[in-house]
Amino acid sequence: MVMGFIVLGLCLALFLKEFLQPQTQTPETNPLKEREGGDPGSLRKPLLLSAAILVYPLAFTGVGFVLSTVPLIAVSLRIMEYRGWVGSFLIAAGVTVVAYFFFGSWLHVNFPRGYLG
Amino acid sequence: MEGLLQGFAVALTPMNLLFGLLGAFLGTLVGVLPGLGPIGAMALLLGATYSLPPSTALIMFAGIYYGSMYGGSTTSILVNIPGEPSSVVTCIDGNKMALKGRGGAALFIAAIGSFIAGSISLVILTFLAPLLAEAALKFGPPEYFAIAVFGLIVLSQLSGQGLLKSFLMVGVGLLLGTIGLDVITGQPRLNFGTVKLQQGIDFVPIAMGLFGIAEVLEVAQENLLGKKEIIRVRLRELLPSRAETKRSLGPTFRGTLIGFMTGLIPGPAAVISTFLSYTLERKISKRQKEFGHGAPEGVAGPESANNASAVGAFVPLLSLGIPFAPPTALLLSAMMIHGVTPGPMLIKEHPEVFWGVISSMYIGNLMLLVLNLPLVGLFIHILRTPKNLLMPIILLLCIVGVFAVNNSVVDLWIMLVSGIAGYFLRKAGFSVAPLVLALVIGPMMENSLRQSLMLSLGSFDIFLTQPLSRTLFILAGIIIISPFLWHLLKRIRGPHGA
Repeated sequence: MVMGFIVLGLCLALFLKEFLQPQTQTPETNPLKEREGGDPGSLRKPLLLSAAILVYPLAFTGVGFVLSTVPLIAVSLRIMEYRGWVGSFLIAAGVTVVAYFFFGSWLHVNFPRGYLG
Repeated sequence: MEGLLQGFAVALTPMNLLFGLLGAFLGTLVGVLPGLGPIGAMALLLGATYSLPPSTALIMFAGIYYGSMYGGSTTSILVNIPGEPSSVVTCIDGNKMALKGRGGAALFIAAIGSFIAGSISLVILTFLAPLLAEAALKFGPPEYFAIAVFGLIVLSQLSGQGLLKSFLMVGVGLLLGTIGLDVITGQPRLNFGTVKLQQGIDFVPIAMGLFGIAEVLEVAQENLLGKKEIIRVRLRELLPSRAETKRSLGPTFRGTLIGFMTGLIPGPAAVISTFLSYTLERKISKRQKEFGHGAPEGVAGPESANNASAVGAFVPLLSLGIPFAPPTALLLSAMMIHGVTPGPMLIKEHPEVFWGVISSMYIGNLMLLVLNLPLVGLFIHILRTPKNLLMPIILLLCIVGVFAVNNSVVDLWIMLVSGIAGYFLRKAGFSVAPLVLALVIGPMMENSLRQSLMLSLGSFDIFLTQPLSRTLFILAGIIIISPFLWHLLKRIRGPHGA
């Protein structure tokens, strides 16, 4: 409880700090954050991928590992503009099936089979 | 010495040699490839090592950790993209050397520097870790609590995102660490009535989310269509000239010392050590103007420093059982999974693990040197894998890896949600390392606090009566107030000083 109040206090302090001292636009100076190209303002792709990621566990148990993972990987390949939809689905199916058999038989991971079971 | 020989007997068994080699190779691979990193790779393989003996599993994980330090330099030099944050500094002069046609020499200097730094640091580790473990046997709960508090405060100060943001992350990490059964009373806490959260929140899904998934989301935002040119290097161009060798020697030894000392300090030691080494070399060099335009000192110093710091980080882990950096926190998890409790008793209870890991690092260091330079071509080939294909595969590996540990959908949820949270935290300028370490250290810290208070019948004086804890609390206080005092001093002196 004490810890919770401390964290709450720190949040308030940070909020007040940001509120009272509006930051001026400074160029990115941290070399660790340097990224090539891209539009730093565009959140569309990460948000779309986040939505897909949040839907995934809902389907994971019921639909099964393979049938839920293939669309997720295909969508992420498509969002990252690697290939068209057909190509993305084919690649996604390939890597997912390889992962399923490799980890399933080597590590004995008990993946949910869902509709394929 | 006897222990070290025993360690070599363990590390030189064919199976351990094979896994040491595999770890070093995988480490170099994840160091070369931006995205997964040593933490992700170790977390992914955690489930795969269940059936292995503890020493074999840890030898492989240690190989991944220090192998990644070697690998990061290759991409920095040849593509100007650091595979790991600890190789950012190497880009400055390493890539310039490559553009001048000295890429092979830069790779050689980085590899030899890393080897020398790794070897010297290992000798120091061999002697220092048992001594510290011996001293730590006398530590009680107040000392452990003070070390944990001191560690988290130093980490917050060094993570470079502002003290307030770092403390906030530490607070969140400590709160997450309180979820689950109370270790002293057995009472379930913050589990929202569900049985699934009674065991607490595991460190692995959080770390994989914050480091792996967040990276995937961050890459999704990048423009991935542009291609970086990779500079070609021929094997015969690998040897540096006599002048380059001479100029690299001093920075290598200074980098080793700086790196090892920084490795003992909590925080992103590897990254800090490279910046410190580069700044020092630039300051003391007679050829300051060459820095930034392909000075071999700018490659030798930082590359030695990051390897030495990776070895230095093993000292608090092996002797105190306290991880001061996220990769060593994962090593701690791996040890716990294999029933090995790190700390001062490790050397007595599991000498084969303690000395086996240290000895394997001597061998692994040599393996990396022998393997890495001839395999540069292979790593460059792997580097050509487009990021927009690599990242979805990393997403898949994270999912499989986290599910493999406990076969738990709750872990999957935790990883994916913390990955999204990690992405937005990064965007908002928060460093997630304090959160991860607080989550790992938190339960130990809470336990030590409560045991101390039980010993003192509820009096907080116990932290001030014990000499070590008193010293550490005073130092922690100084670390917290020093930036404010410095700021105040600058303000007072400002008008006159200017």
